[in-house]
Amino acid sequence: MDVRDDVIDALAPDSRAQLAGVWQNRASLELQVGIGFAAIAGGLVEEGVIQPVIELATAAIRDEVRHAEISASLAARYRGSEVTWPAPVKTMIPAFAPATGRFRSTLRVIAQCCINETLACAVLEACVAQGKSPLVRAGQQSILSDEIDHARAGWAHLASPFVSEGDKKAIGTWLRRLLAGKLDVLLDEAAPLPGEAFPDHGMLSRATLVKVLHSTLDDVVFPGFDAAGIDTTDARAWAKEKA
Amino acid sequence: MDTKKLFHAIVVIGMTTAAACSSSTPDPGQDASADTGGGNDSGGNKDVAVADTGGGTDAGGDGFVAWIGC
Repeated sequence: MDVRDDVIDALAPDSRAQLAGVWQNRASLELQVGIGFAAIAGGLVEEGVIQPVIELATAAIRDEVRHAEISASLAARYRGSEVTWPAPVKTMIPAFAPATGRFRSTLRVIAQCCINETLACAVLEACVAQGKSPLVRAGQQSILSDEIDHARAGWAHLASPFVSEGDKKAIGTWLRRLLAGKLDVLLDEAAPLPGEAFPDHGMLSRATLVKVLHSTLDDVVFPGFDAAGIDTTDARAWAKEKA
Repeated sequence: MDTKKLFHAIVVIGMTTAAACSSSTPDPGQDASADTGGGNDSGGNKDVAVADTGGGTDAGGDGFVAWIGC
Protein backbone atom coordinates (compact mmCIF):
# COMPACT_ATOMS: atom_id res chain seq x y z
CA MET A 1 0.00 0.00 0.00
CA ASP A 2 2.11 2.90 -1.29
CA VAL A 3 -0.53 5.56 -0.74
CA ARG A 4 0.82 8.79 0.72
CA ASP A 5 0.06 9.38 4.39
CA ASP A 6 2.17 12.07 6.01
CA VAL A 7 0.85 11.22 9.48
CA ILE A 8 2.16 7.67 9.24
CA ASP A 9 5.37 8.69 7.50
CA ALA A 10 6.16 11.24 10.22
CA LEU A 11 6.38 8.52 12.88
CA ALA A 12 9.64 7.17 14.26
CA PRO A 13 10.42 3.56 13.25
CA ASP A 14 9.73 2.10 16.72
CA SER A 15 6.33 3.82 16.86
CA ARG A 16 5.48 2.54 13.40
CA ALA A 17 6.43 -0.96 14.50
CA GLN A 18 4.18 -0.66 17.55
CA LEU A 19 1.17 0.43 15.52
CA ALA A 20 1.90 -2.23 12.90
CA GLY A 21 1.62 -4.76 15.70
CA VAL A 22 -1.74 -3.36 16.80
CA TRP A 23 -3.16 -3.61 13.27
CA GLN A 24 -1.69 -7.05 12.65
CA ASN A 25 -3.39 -8.28 15.81
CA ARG A 26 -6.65 -6.70 14.68
CA ALA A 27 -6.40 -8.58 11.37
CA SER A 28 -6.43 -11.84 13.31
CA LEU A 29 -9.28 -10.65 15.53
CA GLU A 30 -11.39 -9.69 12.49
CA LEU A 31 -11.02 -13.18 11.04
CA GLN A 32 -12.12 -14.65 14.35
CA VAL A 33 -15.14 -12.35 14.42
CA GLY A 34 -16.00 -13.74 10.99
CA ILE A 35 -15.91 -17.26 12.40
CA GLY A 36 -18.20 -16.07 15.18
CA PHE A 37 -20.69 -14.91 12.57
CA ALA A 38 -20.38 -18.25 10.76
CA ALA A 39 -21.40 -20.05 13.96
CA ILE A 40 -24.24 -17.59 14.49
CA ALA A 41 -25.48 -18.00 10.92
CA GLY A 42 -25.42 -21.79 11.26
CA GLY A 43 -27.45 -21.63 14.46
CA LEU A 44 -29.95 -19.25 12.93
CA VAL A 45 -30.53 -21.47 9.91
CA GLU A 46 -31.09 -24.44 12.20
CA GLU A 47 -33.31 -22.67 14.71
CA GLY A 48 -35.15 -20.08 12.63
CA VAL A 49 -34.46 -16.64 11.24
CA ILE A 50 -36.10 -14.05 9.06
CA GLN A 51 -34.60 -13.47 5.63
CA PRO A 52 -33.01 -10.03 6.21
CA VAL A 53 -31.22 -11.25 9.34
CA ILE A 54 -29.65 -14.29 7.67
CA GLU A 55 -28.66 -12.06 4.76
CA LEU A 56 -26.90 -9.67 7.14
CA ALA A 57 -25.34 -12.43 9.24
CA THR A 58 -23.89 -14.29 6.27
CA ALA A 59 -22.68 -11.07 4.64
CA ALA A 60 -20.95 -10.29 7.93
CA ILE A 61 -18.74 -13.37 7.51
CA ARG A 62 -17.30 -11.97 4.29
CA ASP A 63 -17.26 -8.42 5.67
CA GLU A 64 -15.03 -9.51 8.53
CA VAL A 65 -12.58 -11.12 6.11
CA ARG A 66 -12.44 -7.78 4.32
CA HIS A 67 -11.81 -6.07 7.65
CA ALA A 68 -8.90 -8.46 8.16
CA GLU A 69 -7.60 -7.43 4.74
CA ILE A 70 -7.87 -3.75 5.69
CA SER A 71 -6.16 -4.33 9.02
CA ALA A 72 -3.34 -6.41 7.53
CA SER A 73 -2.83 -3.78 4.84
CA LEU A 74 -2.58 -1.00 7.41
CA ALA A 75 -0.12 -3.09 9.41
CA ALA A 76 1.97 -3.46 6.28
CA ARG A 77 1.82 0.27 5.61
CA TYR A 78 3.09 1.02 9.11
CA ARG A 79 5.81 -1.62 8.77
CA GLY A 80 6.73 -0.52 5.27
CA SER A 81 6.69 -4.10 4.04
CA GLU A 82 4.47 -6.66 2.34
CA VAL A 83 1.08 -7.66 3.73
CA THR A 84 1.27 -10.59 6.16
CA TRP A 85 -1.86 -12.70 6.43
CA PRO A 86 -2.81 -13.69 10.02
CA ALA A 87 -1.47 -16.97 11.34
CA PRO A 88 -3.89 -19.83 12.16
CA VAL A 89 -5.67 -19.32 15.45
CA LYS A 90 -8.25 -21.28 17.43
CA THR A 91 -11.53 -19.43 17.72
CA MET A 92 -13.80 -19.85 20.72
CA ILE A 93 -17.56 -19.72 20.31
CA PRO A 94 -19.37 -19.13 23.61
CA ALA A 95 -21.54 -22.06 24.64
CA PHE A 96 -23.79 -20.10 26.99
CA ALA A 97 -24.55 -23.29 28.91
CA PRO A 98 -27.12 -24.40 29.94
CA ALA A 99 -28.94 -22.64 27.10
CA THR A 100 -29.67 -24.79 24.07
CA GLY A 101 -31.43 -24.68 20.72
CA ARG A 102 -33.16 -21.57 19.55
CA PHE A 103 -32.62 -19.71 22.80
CA ARG A 104 -28.86 -20.25 22.65
CA SER A 105 -28.89 -19.09 19.05
CA THR A 106 -30.65 -15.90 20.13
CA LEU A 107 -28.18 -15.33 22.98
CA ARG A 108 -25.34 -15.52 20.49
CA VAL A 109 -27.00 -12.96 18.24
CA ILE A 110 -27.52 -10.65 21.20
CA ALA A 111 -23.93 -10.99 22.42
CA GLN A 112 -22.35 -10.49 19.03
CA CYS A 113 -24.71 -8.06 17.31
CA CYS A 114 -26.74 -6.15 19.91
CA ILE A 115 -23.79 -5.78 22.28
CA ASN A 116 -20.41 -6.22 20.57
CA GLU A 117 -21.14 -4.78 17.15
CA THR A 118 -23.33 -1.97 18.46
CA LEU A 119 -20.56 -0.90 20.84
CA ALA A 120 -17.97 -1.30 18.08
CA CYS A 121 -19.89 1.22 15.97
CA ALA A 122 -19.60 3.85 18.67
CA VAL A 123 -15.94 3.05 19.30
CA LEU A 124 -15.10 3.26 15.60
CA GLU A 125 -16.99 6.53 15.31
CA ALA A 126 -14.83 7.91 18.12
CA CYS A 127 -11.67 6.59 16.44
CA VAL A 128 -12.57 8.21 13.12
CA ALA A 129 -13.43 11.52 14.81
CA GLN A 130 -10.12 11.58 16.63
CA GLY A 131 -7.73 10.25 13.97
CA LYS A 132 -5.74 12.35 11.53
CA SER A 133 -4.11 9.67 9.39
CA PRO A 134 -6.08 9.62 6.11
CA LEU A 135 -5.41 5.92 5.54
CA VAL A 136 -6.42 4.88 9.03
CA ARG A 137 -9.54 7.02 8.92
CA ALA A 138 -10.54 5.54 5.56
CA GLY A 139 -10.02 2.02 6.85
CA GLN A 140 -11.96 2.62 10.04
CA GLN A 141 -14.76 4.39 8.18
CA SER A 142 -15.09 1.43 5.84
CA ILE A 143 -15.23 -1.03 8.73
CA LEU A 144 -17.75 1.16 10.55
CA SER A 145 -20.15 1.14 7.61
CA ASP A 146 -20.26 -2.67 7.79
CA GLU A 147 -20.52 -2.82 11.56
CA ILE A 148 -23.75 -0.83 11.43
CA ASP A 149 -25.35 -3.62 9.39
CA HIS A 150 -23.93 -6.27 11.73
CA ALA A 151 -25.45 -4.49 14.71
CA ARG A 152 -28.80 -4.05 12.95
CA ALA A 153 -29.00 -7.81 12.43
CA GLY A 154 -29.24 -8.29 16.18
CA TRP A 155 -32.00 -5.77 16.74
CA ALA A 156 -33.91 -7.12 13.74
CA HIS A 157 -33.70 -10.65 15.14
CA LEU A 158 -34.97 -9.49 18.54
CA ALA A 159 -37.99 -7.94 16.82
CA SER A 160 -38.65 -11.08 14.74
CA PRO A 161 -41.15 -13.87 15.46
CA PHE A 162 -38.22 -16.16 16.30
CA VAL A 163 -37.79 -14.50 19.69
CA SER A 164 -40.84 -15.27 21.82
CA GLU A 165 -42.21 -13.28 24.74
CA GLY A 166 -40.97 -16.07 27.01
CA ASP A 167 -37.50 -15.75 25.51
CA LYS A 168 -37.53 -12.01 26.15
CA LYS A 169 -38.36 -12.55 29.82
CA ALA A 170 -35.47 -14.99 30.12
CA ILE A 171 -33.03 -12.76 28.22
CA GLY A 172 -33.29 -10.09 30.92
CA THR A 173 -31.70 -12.48 33.40
CA TRP A 174 -28.90 -13.31 30.93
CA LEU A 175 -27.83 -9.76 30.05
CA ARG A 176 -25.39 -9.39 32.94
CA ARG A 177 -23.59 -12.56 31.84
CA LEU A 178 -23.55 -11.53 28.19
CA LEU A 179 -22.21 -8.07 29.03
CA ALA A 180 -19.61 -9.32 31.48
CA GLY A 181 -18.41 -11.99 29.04
CA LYS A 182 -16.93 -9.37 26.77
CA LEU A 183 -16.74 -6.13 28.69
CA ASP A 184 -15.37 -7.05 32.12
CA VAL A 185 -11.85 -7.26 30.75
CA LEU A 186 -12.16 -3.85 29.08
CA LEU A 187 -13.84 -2.06 31.98
CA ASP A 188 -11.97 -3.61 34.91
CA GLU A 189 -8.41 -3.11 33.73
CA ALA A 190 -6.57 0.19 34.04
CA ALA A 191 -3.50 -0.50 31.91
CA PRO A 192 -3.09 1.68 28.80
CA LEU A 193 -4.51 0.24 25.60
CA PRO A 194 -2.02 -0.80 22.93
CA GLY A 195 -1.25 2.25 20.81
CA GLU A 196 -3.11 4.75 22.98
CA ALA A 197 -0.15 7.12 22.87
CA PHE A 198 -1.08 7.77 19.22
CA PRO A 199 -4.46 9.54 19.11
CA ASP A 200 -3.72 10.96 15.65
CA HIS A 201 -3.65 7.37 14.43
CA GLY A 202 -7.19 6.64 15.58
CA MET A 203 -6.13 4.91 18.78
CA LEU A 204 -8.36 5.55 21.80
CA SER A 205 -7.11 5.77 25.36
CA ARG A 206 -8.66 3.39 27.84
CA ALA A 207 -10.33 6.34 29.58
CA THR A 208 -11.98 7.43 26.33
CA LEU A 209 -12.93 3.86 25.46
CA VAL A 210 -14.59 3.33 28.85
CA LYS A 211 -16.51 6.59 28.46
CA VAL A 212 -17.71 5.61 24.97
CA LEU A 213 -18.75 2.14 26.13
CA HIS A 214 -20.77 3.45 29.07
CA SER A 215 -22.53 6.16 27.09
CA THR A 216 -23.38 3.70 24.31
CA LEU A 217 -24.72 1.17 26.78
CA ASP A 218 -26.84 3.86 28.45
CA ASP A 219 -28.08 5.60 25.30
CA VAL A 220 -28.23 2.86 22.67
CA VAL A 221 -27.94 -0.72 23.94
CA PHE A 222 -30.12 -0.59 27.05
CA PRO A 223 -32.84 1.53 25.39
CA GLY A 224 -32.73 -0.97 22.52
CA PHE A 225 -33.42 -3.85 24.87
CA ASP A 226 -36.15 -1.79 26.53
CA ALA A 227 -37.75 -1.22 23.12
CA ALA A 228 -37.61 -4.96 22.46
CA GLY A 229 -39.47 -5.64 25.70
CA ILE A 230 -36.47 -6.99 27.62
CA ASP A 231 -36.00 -6.06 31.28
CA THR A 232 -32.72 -4.15 31.65
CA THR A 233 -32.86 -3.62 35.42
CA ASP A 234 -30.08 -6.08 36.17
CA ALA A 235 -28.03 -5.06 33.13
CA ARG A 236 -28.14 -1.43 34.20
CA ALA A 237 -27.12 -2.44 37.71
CA TRP A 238 -24.11 -4.27 36.25
CA ALA A 239 -23.14 -1.16 34.27
CA LYS A 240 -23.42 0.97 37.39
CA GLU A 241 -21.09 -1.41 39.24
CA LYS A 242 -18.56 -0.97 36.44
CA ALA A 243 -18.77 2.83 36.29
CA MET B 1 -20.56 11.03 19.44
CA ASP B 2 -24.27 11.43 18.78
CA THR B 3 -25.83 8.44 20.50
CA LYS B 4 -29.34 9.45 19.45
CA LYS B 5 -28.32 9.15 15.82
CA LEU B 6 -26.64 5.84 16.56
CA PHE B 7 -29.77 4.53 18.28
CA HIS B 8 -31.86 5.41 15.24
CA ALA B 9 -29.34 4.09 12.71
CA ILE B 10 -28.91 0.76 14.45
CA VAL B 11 -31.81 -0.10 16.74
CA VAL B 12 -34.74 1.64 15.08
CA ILE B 13 -33.78 0.68 11.53
CA GLY B 14 -32.91 -2.86 12.63
CA MET B 15 -36.26 -3.40 14.30
CA THR B 16 -38.10 -1.81 11.38
CA THR B 17 -36.41 -4.30 9.08
CA ALA B 18 -37.96 -7.15 11.04
CA ALA B 19 -41.40 -5.57 11.11
CA ALA B 20 -41.36 -5.13 7.34
CA CYS B 21 -40.97 -8.84 6.62
CA SER B 22 -42.92 -10.44 9.45
CA SER B 23 -45.91 -11.18 7.26
CA SER B 24 -43.81 -13.42 5.00
CA THR B 25 -42.17 -15.37 7.82
CA PRO B 26 -43.19 -19.01 8.42
CA ASP B 27 -44.48 -20.06 11.81
CA PRO B 28 -41.40 -20.18 14.08
CA GLY B 29 -42.42 -23.36 15.89
CA GLN B 30 -42.82 -25.48 12.78
CA ASP B 31 -39.60 -24.24 11.27
CA ALA B 32 -37.51 -25.02 14.30
CA SER B 33 -38.59 -28.64 14.63
CA ALA B 34 -38.21 -29.35 10.93
CA ASP B 35 -34.72 -27.86 10.77
CA THR B 36 -33.46 -29.60 13.85
CA GLY B 37 -34.45 -33.04 12.63
CA GLY B 38 -33.20 -32.74 9.09
CA GLY B 39 -30.13 -30.61 9.54
CA ASN B 40 -28.41 -32.40 12.34
CA ASP B 41 -29.03 -35.94 11.18
CA SER B 42 -28.04 -35.58 7.58
CA GLY B 43 -25.69 -32.65 7.67
CA GLY B 44 -22.55 -34.73 7.80
CA ASN B 45 -19.52 -34.29 9.97
CA LYS B 46 -18.83 -30.69 9.11
CA ASP B 47 -22.28 -29.46 10.11
CA VAL B 48 -22.14 -31.35 13.37
CA ALA B 49 -18.73 -29.91 14.04
CA VAL B 50 -20.05 -26.37 13.80
CA ALA B 51 -22.78 -27.18 16.30
CA ASP B 52 -20.26 -28.92 18.55
CA THR B 53 -17.96 -25.95 18.46
CA GLY B 54 -20.69 -23.90 20.03
CA GLY B 55 -21.45 -26.40 22.70
CA GLY B 56 -17.95 -27.39 23.57
CA THR B 57 -16.10 -24.20 24.28
CA ASP B 58 -17.25 -23.32 27.76
CA ALA B 59 -13.62 -22.94 28.72
CA GLY B 60 -13.43 -19.97 26.38
CA GLY B 61 -15.87 -18.00 28.49
CA ASP B 62 -18.99 -16.11 27.49
CA GLY B 63 -17.43 -13.60 25.13
CA PHE B 64 -17.24 -13.81 21.37
CA VAL B 65 -14.01 -12.63 19.87
CA ALA B 66 -14.82 -9.06 19.01
CA TRP B 67 -13.03 -5.87 18.21
CA ILE B 68 -14.15 -3.25 20.67
CA GLY B 69 -11.33 -0.83 20.73
CA CYS B 70 -8.05 -2.56 21.39
